[in-house]
Amino acid sequence: METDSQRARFQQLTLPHLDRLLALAMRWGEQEEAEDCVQETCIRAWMAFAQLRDPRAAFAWLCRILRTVAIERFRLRKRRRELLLIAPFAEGEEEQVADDAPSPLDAVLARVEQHRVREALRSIPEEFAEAVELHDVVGLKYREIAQVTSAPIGTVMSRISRGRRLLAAALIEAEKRSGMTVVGRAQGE
Amino acid sequence: MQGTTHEEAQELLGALVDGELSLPLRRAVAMHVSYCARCQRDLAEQREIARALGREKIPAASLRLRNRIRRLTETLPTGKRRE
Repeated sequence: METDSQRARFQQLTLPHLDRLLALAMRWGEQEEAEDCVQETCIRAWMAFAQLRDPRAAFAWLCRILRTVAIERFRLRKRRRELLLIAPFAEGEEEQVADDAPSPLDAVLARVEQHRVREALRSIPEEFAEAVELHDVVGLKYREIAQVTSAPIGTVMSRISRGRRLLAAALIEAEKRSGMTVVGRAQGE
Repeated sequence: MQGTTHEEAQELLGALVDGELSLPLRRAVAMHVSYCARCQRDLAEQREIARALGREKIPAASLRLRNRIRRLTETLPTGKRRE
């Protein structure tokens, strides 16, 4: 029966990607909200399954649907929250860019807990964070990111370069601030 | 491809690290990086950030979610195939 084979094919193409879809959805919400978001994505994907012509493009196609779902559900709310946090890190990047000294990032990354790096992504502007996450965490190629985000490939390249630079600056700045407290105290003594 | 400016190279360092540049662009950016201390430092940062994020463990989807996805294909009709 056609529906049975369609169902089996759909499950075969979607279920292996659930972990990565969930990881992506958690940019916009906690586990339960993210799972709802992934479920909604799969419902829409199932309804539109006939539109998927190339099975190799299934994951990028699901990411694109998830992004639409997330934009509708979480993005505006998250964006409002983020606007309060962006300014200090943007300033931090300017300081980094103006400085030719060797980067302390290596040492910072050795000290910082692993999940903090991904958390720090939330503090940089959305379009940069999204491109970096789609590549470095979710594993999409630049061409696929361009499709998912409807951006030219040159923009994807620029967003990934700048996003990583902003993230590095954010991590270094956060480390500097936590260190300044200790140094300040020591100098005051 | 002629050489690249510092500003252009800065925008392409990530793609250089990720092997996403065409051969002429890769050569042009690599040439600039070979004599630009700032780009050498930033290239190392691009690698470190990519490596750190690549090590991040992603959460596993729960069995409940997997079952919900399986069930939805049994209860909902899929769209009609477009001819």
